[in-house]
Amino acid sequence: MKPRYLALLTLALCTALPLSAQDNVPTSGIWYGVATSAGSAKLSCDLCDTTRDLGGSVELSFGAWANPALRVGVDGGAWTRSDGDVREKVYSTGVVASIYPRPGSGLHLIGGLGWAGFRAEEFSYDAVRLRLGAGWDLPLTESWVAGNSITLDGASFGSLNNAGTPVAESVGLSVARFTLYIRRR
Amino acid sequence: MKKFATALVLLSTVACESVEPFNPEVPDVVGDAVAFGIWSPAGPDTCTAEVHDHHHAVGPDGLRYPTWHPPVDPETGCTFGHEHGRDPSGSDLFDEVGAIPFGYANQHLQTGGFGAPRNEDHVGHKVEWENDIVMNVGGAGSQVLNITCDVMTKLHQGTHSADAFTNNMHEVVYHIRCTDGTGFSATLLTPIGDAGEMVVGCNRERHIDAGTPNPAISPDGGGKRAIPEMACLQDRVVDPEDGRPRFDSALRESWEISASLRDGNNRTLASFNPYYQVMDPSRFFDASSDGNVGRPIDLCSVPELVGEDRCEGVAAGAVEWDSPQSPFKGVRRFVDVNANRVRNLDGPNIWYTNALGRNGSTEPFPGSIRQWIAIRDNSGIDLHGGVIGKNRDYDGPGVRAPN
Repeated sequence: MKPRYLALLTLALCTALPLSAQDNVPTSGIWYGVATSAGSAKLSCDLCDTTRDLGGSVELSFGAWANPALRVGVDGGAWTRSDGDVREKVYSTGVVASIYPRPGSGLHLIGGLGWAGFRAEEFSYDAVRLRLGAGWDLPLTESWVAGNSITLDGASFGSLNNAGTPVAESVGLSVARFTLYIRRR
Repeated sequence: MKKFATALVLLSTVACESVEPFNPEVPDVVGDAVAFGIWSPAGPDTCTAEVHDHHHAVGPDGLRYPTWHPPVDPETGCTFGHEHGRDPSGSDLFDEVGAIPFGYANQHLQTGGFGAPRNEDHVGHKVEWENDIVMNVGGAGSQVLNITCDVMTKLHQGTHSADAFTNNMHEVVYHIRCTDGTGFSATLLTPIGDAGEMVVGCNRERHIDAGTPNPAISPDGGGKRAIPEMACLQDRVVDPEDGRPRFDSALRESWEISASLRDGNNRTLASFNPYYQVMDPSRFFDASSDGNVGRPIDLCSVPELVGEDRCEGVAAGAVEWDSPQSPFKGVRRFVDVNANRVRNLDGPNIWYTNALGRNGSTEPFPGSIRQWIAIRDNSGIDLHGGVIGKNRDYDGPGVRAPN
């Protein structure tokens, strides 16, 4: 799905749901969700192709509400794009936390820590990644919410390898995503 | 005090690991190389030998060597009748590597222990270079990495005589510096294909035993010299299936090098395999001709070919093979850069090899040539270059075969 269609869908969801409905979002117990994103990824190093490539991604996550203002869990997903005959992929997994500054409101700030791995045929990169972002929950039913978020994953201090042989050091990886999700609770 | 001593040791270590420059200081002139002063004017050439010899470079051995010059002398306006390719002073590498002394490896062949001389003519030295070549990296590398290189090379590639039919030892100079740290500067006589044998350009399966090589002890080498033979012209010019003559297709030469610098244990330190191609040589192999040399210009007098393809504008029977008016004078050339491998992680930068690029040592020895290799192992990337020079030709006022 192209980014502009995702944006239009999000806008439609935002305008279709009354703001008051957000007060009914449950904020306790277990949660789980699935997300799809349009995102761009870029490797950064002296030798790296610095083009920011646009691709799509999916992500699964689950966890629990720690309190009405804090939702924690784990997530895992993959981003991919095709560049000619080569398919580039970024895998990620880690812990994630969402802080709701105003409990009962859909606005939340996102932080996460985990692993990111880049793969393109024999080329590979693995590093610790940090996630920062913000999102907005929109209630669909009593148990489900939809929403959107913007996140940035950043990883650095890894080496880029080709068939196990290092070809570049001090490599960074960033993935910016615009995400639509549905989540139970 | 102990900390201070440790710091000194660390500093000295850093200093020892710094990159040594390729080019040492140019020494005072002590004499002339064999390759110097061998050109003299003939036919329509208007420059004197003295004007020609004004264009020279001093080698690391203190000898004067011929070097690149334009086809027209910039001071007197006279013509040399030959060209050496692209002006190397425009290369980003020129400040570092300097002028290329033509015939430096030939000069040091015998003093390095080889049992016979191998000298080459003057006009065959051809320079090509390109700055900031976007390289191809094997596999997904071109999607992930962006590596550029500066390349400057010189090959002795004579395409006007019978020399290359049998002789496979030719001087190559190859400088490369890349953004990933890959780099080397190599000067050597490299055997291209088997000695005494050439490969037919339009049919690589056909090998022609062309005679005894010079020198007779020339070793066989990797790669090949693909050179046109009469059958190529017959099939693609005189009697093509579709009736359309194609001189470029028939005459295209490709000298495909497989060169390397190696240490005393025959371990490869750097290797490269560029293809040097010429579209308009002034000769082809013809076993029915004197010295096996056929001249493409003669085909422009065949009634069916008058004014056709490369014969356009050529008056039948009125243009000699060595005339500036001939369309066949070896000025349309290009180089496929191909693979560039460095296996020198333990260093040092400076190696001394014999003229064949072998027996590399960290200390100079009689007849050795100073080579420069980056302290690097680029085995993680399959670094390939593209084509350079394809959109250029080096024709100029007075240029003619032999060129």
